[in-house]
Amino acid sequence: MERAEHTARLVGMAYRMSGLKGTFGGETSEWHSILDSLGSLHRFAPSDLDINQHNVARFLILDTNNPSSVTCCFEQARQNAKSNRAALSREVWEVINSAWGDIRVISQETVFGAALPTLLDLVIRTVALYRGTIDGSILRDDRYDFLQLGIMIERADNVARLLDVCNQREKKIAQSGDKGTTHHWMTALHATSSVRAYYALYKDDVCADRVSDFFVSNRVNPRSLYFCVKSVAVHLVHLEDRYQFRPACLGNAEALLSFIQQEPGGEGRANGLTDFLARFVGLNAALSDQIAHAFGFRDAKGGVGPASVLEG
Amino acid sequence: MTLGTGIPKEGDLTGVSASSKVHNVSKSSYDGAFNEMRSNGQIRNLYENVHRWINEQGVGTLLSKTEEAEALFRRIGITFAVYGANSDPERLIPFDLVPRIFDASEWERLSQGVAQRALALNAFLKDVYSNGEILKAGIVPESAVSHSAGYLDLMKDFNPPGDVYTHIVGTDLVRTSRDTFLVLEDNCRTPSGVSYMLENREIMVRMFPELVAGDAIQPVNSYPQLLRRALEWVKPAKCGGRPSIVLLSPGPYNSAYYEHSFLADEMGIDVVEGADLFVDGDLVWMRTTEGPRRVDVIYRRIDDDFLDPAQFNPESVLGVRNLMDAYKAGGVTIANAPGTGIADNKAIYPYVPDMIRFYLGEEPLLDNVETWRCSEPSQCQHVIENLSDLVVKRVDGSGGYGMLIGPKATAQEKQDFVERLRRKPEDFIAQPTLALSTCPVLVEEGLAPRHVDFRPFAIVGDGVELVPGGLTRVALKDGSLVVNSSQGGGVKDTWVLAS
Repeated sequence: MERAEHTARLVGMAYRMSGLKGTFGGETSEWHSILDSLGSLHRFAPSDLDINQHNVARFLILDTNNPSSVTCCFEQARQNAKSNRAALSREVWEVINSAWGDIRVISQETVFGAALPTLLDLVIRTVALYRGTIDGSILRDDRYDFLQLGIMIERADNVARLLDVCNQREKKIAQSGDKGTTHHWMTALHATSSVRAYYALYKDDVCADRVSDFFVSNRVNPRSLYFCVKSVAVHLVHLEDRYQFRPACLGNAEALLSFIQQEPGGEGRANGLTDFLARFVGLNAALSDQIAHAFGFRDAKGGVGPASVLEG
Repeated sequence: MTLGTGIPKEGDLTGVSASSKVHNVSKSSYDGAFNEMRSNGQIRNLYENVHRWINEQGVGTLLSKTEEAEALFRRIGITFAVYGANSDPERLIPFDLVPRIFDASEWERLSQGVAQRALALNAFLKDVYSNGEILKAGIVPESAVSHSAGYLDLMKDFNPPGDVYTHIVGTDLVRTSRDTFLVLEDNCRTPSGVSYMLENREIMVRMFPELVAGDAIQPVNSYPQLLRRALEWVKPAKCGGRPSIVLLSPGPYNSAYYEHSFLADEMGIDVVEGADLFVDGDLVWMRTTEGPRRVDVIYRRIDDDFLDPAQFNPESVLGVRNLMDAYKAGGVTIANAPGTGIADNKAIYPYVPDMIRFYLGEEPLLDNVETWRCSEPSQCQHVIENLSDLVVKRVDGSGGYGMLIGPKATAQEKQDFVERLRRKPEDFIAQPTLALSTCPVLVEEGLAPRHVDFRPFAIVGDGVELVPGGLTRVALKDGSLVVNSSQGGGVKDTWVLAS
């Protein structure tokens, strides 16, 4: 569900950026960037379709042959929920089941033109409902901790990829010599519904350093890498208390938190951030594997980690 | 005239059965069938409120309400899997919103009759796996038992906790007149359908509060608690404290998986698959993230053959290796017990009234459908001579598999069946066609009669309990004989009114 939301937010971001063609140098590049960011370029490329809103949005949202599409995410979430019904409340199940039922019957026309934001809002609202029902109806036992571990690891991965799209754009702009442009950073804030939060925290104009800080090391932004990994560590501590053993992955989570705090800034930040984000994505994925290993998910369920098993 | 083919057993809500070829008959097929809503042209008292409400609402409103109900069923996920090409992988069982109603006295009679039967069937299972007194007394022939595929040698001389073998009994009933209810068959293994009973009521309460409030309907929602209590009561000898219960399911791809997860939710127990459990010594454990957790009672929804690959089907990946060893050592209770198939075998069915007399010293409160046992030469000859009027069933069949419906069969089909009867008569029984009662359903033009049957669920623990209700299935196709969901069958909420 977290991935479905992120995909919808990224599509929204590209929609917004492509509406500013003059600013960003053409429609194609934005849709190309989000395909790249989502790791879906290789799946889209063989289709030989033009990279534009209609084709990319349809591929990312409705295409049942794309395992990362919103439709497939909802389907996978439903399958996982079905297999773990006892870990979920009826409310959570119904949200997931309805999401799957609703998107299956959505017309392909909804990815055209101005109909797209309405579809994206529907996806984002559905995931918000999912999160809300979890908050309001799931027991705060180990199942809740595993659910949150899955959500936070997935979200950290998504945020890192989002930042990477912006950072790549920053580098291109820098090469073109137009140093005053910050629309891409503003778009990232819009995509995550974080504009107000940003201004409340920084009380200053949008700039690369501050937006990077907001998404990387900020302690109170629920979509910062720090916040996500800190949450992972907190839930691992809950499990440590409950199970009376210290899982090795808790040390890995703490190491990842230290790593985040070394995020480069200032001069040369764009290149440094590229490397940082690439390393973060790798370490975060490794952490997911370590958690799965520590709690026996691989043994019990044949090689599936908690991010996919427990995150509806 | 029509006949009941019965509600299929576990997993067969989807099964395409031989009996389920569509047998449309003319509207005159409803002549002579008891009409649950009308008697002598008058609305029966217990349907007055419902009838008035239907007229007030109008057909158009009710049809749109039916669509709303279906949307709710979809959201809740009450679907069943259909295997095969070009079919929706998740289908709804059609829900008809006109309830089927029993008054308190009808229910009292039905529930007492079903409870009586459940007690007798458990007594029979205990007897047949120990001294076999009923066989020695010549009441049930030894051959009927030894021929049964449901008999398990492994259960011989083993007494399950509380002497309960079949903890949940689903008894299929048909009504042929105001006062005549007949038992079509007993389901003593893993009867399904109770989730529809519960969810149908939920939908009715949610969508039609004014209708539901108009009658004093007895609630059914205590079923999961009663079941849980019964399962706790049969905890194994080696369980000292409060037992830990799980529901053992074949998994999310099973057609009845919704019911499995629903019941587990309602009872507050885990749904597990075979791979989640293991046996260590005499005890059964569940793999959890916290490490192994002891399991005391297994409410299983998989067939005997798949329970334990060490004892039964060695290819089974659904079961738990050495489970039977733990069971017989008193380390775990399995509900329903393995080997209960002998009690709902159709070759045994004709003897249930005699079992009631033998074990309970009482007269049966509910009659069987008249049944000819083809294992007896004279009865077999009668069946062959009257094949056109009879329904012939395999003794080990369920869900309508391998049946012949005489009035609908072609000459060639009948000829083929005669040969099968002559070759292995002991494999078959025969019954007359029955005029099943009708209950109105909502169709485009308004209300129309359709045939119904009824499955209440008896829970056996420290006594027998039934919640006042059950699953009414309805053959939605005009004139159809078949209530199977895969062949146009649907379900209705069943009301039992307070006295």
